[in-house]
Amino acid sequence: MMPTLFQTVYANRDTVARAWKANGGRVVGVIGDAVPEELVAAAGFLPYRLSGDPDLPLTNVRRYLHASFNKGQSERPIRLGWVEAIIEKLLNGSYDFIDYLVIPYTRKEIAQVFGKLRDVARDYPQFRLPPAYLLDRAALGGERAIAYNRARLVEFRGQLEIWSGQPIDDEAMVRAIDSSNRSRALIAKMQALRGISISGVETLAILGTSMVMPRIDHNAALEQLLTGARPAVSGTRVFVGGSAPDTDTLYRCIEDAGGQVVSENHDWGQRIAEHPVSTVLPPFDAIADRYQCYTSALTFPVSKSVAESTARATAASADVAIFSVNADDGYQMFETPGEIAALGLPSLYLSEQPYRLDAIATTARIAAFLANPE
Amino acid sequence: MTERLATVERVRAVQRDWIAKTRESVAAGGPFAICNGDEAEEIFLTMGIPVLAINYWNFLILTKGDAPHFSEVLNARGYPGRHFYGLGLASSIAPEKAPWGGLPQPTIIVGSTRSEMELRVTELWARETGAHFFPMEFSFPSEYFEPLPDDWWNWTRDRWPELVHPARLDYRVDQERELIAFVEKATGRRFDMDELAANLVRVDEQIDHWIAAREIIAKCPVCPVTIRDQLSMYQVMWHRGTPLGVDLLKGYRHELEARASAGIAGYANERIRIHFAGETPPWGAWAEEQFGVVTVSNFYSGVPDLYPRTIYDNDPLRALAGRHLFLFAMDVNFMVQQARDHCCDAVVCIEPFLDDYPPEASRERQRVEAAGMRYLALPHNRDGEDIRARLTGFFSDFS
Repeated sequence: MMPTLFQTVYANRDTVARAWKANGGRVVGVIGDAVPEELVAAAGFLPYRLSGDPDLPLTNVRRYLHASFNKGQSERPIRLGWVEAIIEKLLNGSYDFIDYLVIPYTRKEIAQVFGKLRDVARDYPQFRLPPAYLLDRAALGGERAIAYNRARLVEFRGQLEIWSGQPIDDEAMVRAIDSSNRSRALIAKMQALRGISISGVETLAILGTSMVMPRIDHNAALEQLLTGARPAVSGTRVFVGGSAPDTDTLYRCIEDAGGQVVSENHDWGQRIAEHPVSTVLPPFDAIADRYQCYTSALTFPVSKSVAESTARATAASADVAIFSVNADDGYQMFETPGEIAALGLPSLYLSEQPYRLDAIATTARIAAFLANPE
Repeated sequence: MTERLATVERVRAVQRDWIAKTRESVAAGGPFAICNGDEAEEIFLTMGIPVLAINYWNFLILTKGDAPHFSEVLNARGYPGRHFYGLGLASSIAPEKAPWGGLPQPTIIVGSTRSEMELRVTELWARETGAHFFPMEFSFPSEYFEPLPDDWWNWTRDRWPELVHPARLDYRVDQERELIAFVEKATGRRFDMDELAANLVRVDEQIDHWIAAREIIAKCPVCPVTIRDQLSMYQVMWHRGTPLGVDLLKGYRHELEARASAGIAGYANERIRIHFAGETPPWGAWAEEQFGVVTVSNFYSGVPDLYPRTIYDNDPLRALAGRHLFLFAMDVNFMVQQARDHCCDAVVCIEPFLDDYPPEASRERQRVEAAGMRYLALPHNRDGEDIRARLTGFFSDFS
């Protein structure tokens, strides 16, 4: 079967952005799933979500970041493999099409990219790094956090206006909201077909590409995909939790082992399409409202994340659960046992995984689990 | 090596006594708090509530060599791997081997988003012990917006408002007020803003003793105290701004003055003074014996200097919140300054991948050598034949 547009773009995620740039457009790179894309798009930029690459040698990171003062206690100032890989790509020129970079304060290691890049730019001027913006965020909720985060969004809007050289008007925001909400609606339709005629691997590609393509193009392609006839997919219905995978290796392992991912709880998965932006509120307020209620990388309390996992797995009628937690992801590691206990499904816990998964060994473990999930 | 400082023995006795008294008071129904270091201790101290800094407790477990045991405790709960931050949680799950017979039942645990993992662990810890849980946003490791001035450590006392983001500062002040209200309700204790102001003034006094002691170390022809004893004195920072804390550091200063006057050396064989960019080099005794290398300062040597905050507008809570938002940076300039202040001949750093790039790529090396000191990078913070070979190569031709 021919790969879909989504799979082609997912495999080379910068192709569309480079074409956009070649046509005179400008690109705002974002890290993570929390930056409100509607504001970026309304300013006329293509929002582009950065991702790592487990196969990438960390030549520049080791030379220019790890050759750094770290109190002698930590062997890696940046611990998350995918964050290291993103920095490497920024340093090695892979992201030379990015005009500006937005780094949200959703996880400590994500926010640290801001400071690390600033230090590298100061000490090693040979690197041509995009101007970076730290989008601060209070994570624990409540009225004060809402007010704080809204104020930061106002500042962010101002920064985008400076970058674009023009004000962001309500009409532009409404157009961006319409487009992103349309995408969310289509993805919700797609969600219902997962495990029936859309595989987990295809889903990851559809979701992943929605964050690196203009929404309007992505929506058109997704609409076409959803209206066409599709062959059935099969396999044990699997819920995936744990560390966010920025490649499809884990999903491929699951499919190779006879499973089919129908639902997940990570920030490359279905949750990016949840919470449509309100069309009742004034557009900026609506964007701020979604920004606040959207579950980002950091959730509090643990029970909230556990409840969301359970709800997604239940809604997707998952038969089993597979949790893959990277060795560098202490936050997720302290969450997963609670999620497993609450799910009540037969579960496989792949703990202390490397960022670069061993596909053969992982497939074998999953196959053994799926053969006898009890 | 000379015998340990009398003040260190006193500090150790104070700590043992502190936990015993805390246990007694908790048994009698009194409150007990747990929080990250530099997050909320002064709030509790001001209210007369004993408070334990999590990092201090974890280091105690580490020092006793019980980290593997408590990692296994966490492993059994489904949290795999080797642990550091979660050791305290483990010591509540299985208190049998915990230092000092284990912690009393906490009334409240304060967590924070200084890292997501720490937030999770503190929440689980509170659940495990049945304590109240109070999470805080932002802390001193939070990424800051503007580049720091090169000499930021000269700004922390008087120009601290320029080192913190004003919106974050407002936010943090509000949270501290909320925490105070929460603790008042949970414990029935009253918070007195004047007492907090007095605490902060005492911090200034306490740290002035530390700075004076550091100057003795720096100027003395032979270092009068080992790095091990210096680190032991750091425990006094957990009695920050208390009369006891002031008295302990005053005693430390006086003992160093006496030692310096008497020409008593901390190390028996001092020839080369180093700054170690960690805590205590695991190869320290060997390097002293072989080459006369002694560790005069380390990462923590200058950190207490950074605690004082001038109170503006009669608002001690804002000054405290300012410090909670910026205490120190992991910064090469500060390291170089520390090494200079302590008249070091060389700086030893850990650079995990140093064999992957040419030595001149290291910004630490560049800055240290530009400051007129020699520089050695080691690939890890353990002792071993590979490390000793590097140390031998470096110190053998030291002139």
